[in-house]
Amino acid sequence: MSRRGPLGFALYSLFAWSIVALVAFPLLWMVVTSLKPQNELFRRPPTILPQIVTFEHYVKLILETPFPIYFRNSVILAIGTSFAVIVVATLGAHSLARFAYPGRRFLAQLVLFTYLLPSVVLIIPLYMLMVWLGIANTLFSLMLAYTSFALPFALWLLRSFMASIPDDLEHAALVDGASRMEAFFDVILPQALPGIISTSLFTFILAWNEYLYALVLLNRDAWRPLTTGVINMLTSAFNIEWSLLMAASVMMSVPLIVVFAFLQKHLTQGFGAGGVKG
Amino acid sequence: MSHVVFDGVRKVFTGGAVAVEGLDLQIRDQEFISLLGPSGCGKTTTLRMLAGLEQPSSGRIRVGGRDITDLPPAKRNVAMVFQSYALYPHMSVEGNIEYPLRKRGVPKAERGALIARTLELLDLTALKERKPRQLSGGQQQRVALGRAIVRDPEIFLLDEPLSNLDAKLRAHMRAELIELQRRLGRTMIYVTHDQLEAMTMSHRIAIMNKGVLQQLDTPDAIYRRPANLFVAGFVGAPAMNLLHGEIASVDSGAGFVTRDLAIPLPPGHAALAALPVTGTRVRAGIRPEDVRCVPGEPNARVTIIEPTGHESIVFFRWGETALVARVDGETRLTAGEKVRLEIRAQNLHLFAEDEAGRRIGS
Repeated sequence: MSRRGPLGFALYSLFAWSIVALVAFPLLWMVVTSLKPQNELFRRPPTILPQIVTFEHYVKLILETPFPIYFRNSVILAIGTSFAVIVVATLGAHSLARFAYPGRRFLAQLVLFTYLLPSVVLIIPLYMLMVWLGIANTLFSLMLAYTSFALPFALWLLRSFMASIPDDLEHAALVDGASRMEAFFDVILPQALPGIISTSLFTFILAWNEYLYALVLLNRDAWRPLTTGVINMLTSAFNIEWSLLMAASVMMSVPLIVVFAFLQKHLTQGFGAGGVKG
Repeated sequence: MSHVVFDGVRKVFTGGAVAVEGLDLQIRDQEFISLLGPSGCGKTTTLRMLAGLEQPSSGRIRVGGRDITDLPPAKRNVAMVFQSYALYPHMSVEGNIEYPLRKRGVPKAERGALIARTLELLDLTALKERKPRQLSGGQQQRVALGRAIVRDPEIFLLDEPLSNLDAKLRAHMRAELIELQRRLGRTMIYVTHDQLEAMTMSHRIAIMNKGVLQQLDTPDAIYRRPANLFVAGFVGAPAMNLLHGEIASVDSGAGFVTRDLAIPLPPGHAALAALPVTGTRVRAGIRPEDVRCVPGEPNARVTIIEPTGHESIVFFRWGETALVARVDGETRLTAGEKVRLEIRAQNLHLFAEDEAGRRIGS
C-alpha cells in the first residue's frame, strides 16, 4: 500500500467503495422501502430516506399472512438439508479421501459429474421419482432434492479437507486404542470442523434461497418455503405488494446475516485451510 | 515377555509393489533394535505391520508367543511415535498424553497420576496447557514420546522420530532415548535411515533393502563383517571403497588383484578359508580408515581434500582406481600431491561378484 502513494490509495479506495455502493444500494433500498408508508412509495421525486418510519408492513406480514408458516418451512428445510448433507458428506468424503477400494476414483468423478448437470434437467426425473416413492408434494421430498444437488459439491469440498488432514493423526489414534469410528470422531472431525462449517453454510444458503425446485415440486400452500410462498402470496398478474414484498425480503435476509455473522470467521478459515497441506 | 517374531512376512501393496519380502526376524525382549535402510526399503512398512496399521499379505507376526497378525491396532499393546509426531492439534499437551489412557479405559482417578509422572519424566509439566502448535520441534517430539510412554506398552515403535530435529537437538535426544529405554526396560523398534542413529543407539541393527532383510547383527559386527555388498556400501561414511578385481596369487600367496593394485591376503585372513579358485572375479571392500599414507615411493595422487577438523576425507587416484581415505587432520596434503598409500590387508573384505554379492569367508 505504501508503494502506491497517497493518490494511488485514494483511487484504490474510490474504486473499492464504488463497488461496495453498487452492491449495497439495492439492499439499502429494500430496507428503506419496507419502512415507508404506502403513500410514500411511488412519490415523485422519490424520497431517499423515509419521511415517516413505519413498521406496519412487518406487523401485517406476521399477523395477517401465512408468512410465519413459510418462514417455519424454510427453517425446517434449510436446517434439515444442511444436517443431512453434513452427515452424508463428512462420512462420504472421509471414505473417498482415506479408504482404498476399487472404483474410488471413478466414484469421485461420478459425483463431480452429477454436479455438472444443470439442475433444470433433473427436475422432471426427480418429480417422477418423488411421485413413485409416494412422497411428492411434501417438505421431505424437497429436502431430499436439495440434498441430492448440494451433496456433490459438499463431498468435493470436504474431500479436499479430509485429504489435507495427515493420515498419521488417524493412525496415531488407532494405535492409541481408538476404534475407526472413535478415531473419526475424536481426531478427524475436529480437524475438519472449518470445512464442515463452510459446507453447512453453503448448503443452508442454497436451501434457503432455492426457488425453482420449490416451485415445481411443491404446490401445497401449507408446505411452501419463503421463496415461492412470498412470491405466490404478494405478486399477481395485476399487482405487486411492494412494501410487503420488501418487508418479507428483509426478514428473509435476517437469518442468513445472523448465521454469517457468527460463522464468518470459520468460513474464511475454512476456505483457506482447504487448499493448504498440513 | 515381549519377544517379537516376524515369520515369513510378506507385504504387497495394491498395484503390485512388493514392500516386504519373506521377512524372518526375531526381536528379543527389552531389546533396542533399529531397522535401517534407504527410502522405500520396507522398514516403515515392517513397523506399521507390527502396529497393525498395515495387514501382511502373508506370514504371521507374534508377540510374546501370541499371534497378533489379525488384531486391530487397539488390541495390540504397542505404542508408536510417528515421524510427524502426529500430535492431536486440538488437544493440549495434557490432553494428548491422556488420550491413550482414555481410549484404553484407564479410570479417571488413575489417569492424573500417570499423566503427572509422564509430564515430569519428560520435563513437560510447565507446558501441559499448551497446544501442539505452541511448542518447538523438540517439545513436540517429547509430547509424542510422552503419549507413547504413559500407557506403559510392551513395545515401542519409533518411526524416524528424530529426523525433524536440528543436528544438536538430535544428538541430545539420541542420548535421552537410550537412557529412556534402559530405564523403562521395554522393547524398542526404531526405524531410521540415519546410520549414525542406528549405530549409536541399538543393541542390534536389521538392515533392509528393497523389502529384503540383508543382515541382522550388532552395530560392531555390521561394520566389521558386512554380510554382503549392499551392507558394505550402505554402512559407513564415507562409504567403503569397493573395487572390481580377481583372486590371483600375490607374493607366493593368495591375494586380490586389480589393474592397479595387488593386495596379498595375510595369513589368518577370514576369507582364506572360503576363497574361490584363482581367476575368479570378486569385489573387494576397503574401509577409508584402512587406507593409509606412508613414507616411501609415491604410488597415488591426491585429487580432492575435504577437511572436517579432526580428520580429512581425502580422495586419491591410484593408477585408474579411485580411493577414498580417512586421514588424520594433522597430515598436510595438497591436491595433486603424490603420496604412497598402503592398504591394511588384514581388514580387506571380499564379496562374490554377483547380484547377491555375498561375503566370502566369515
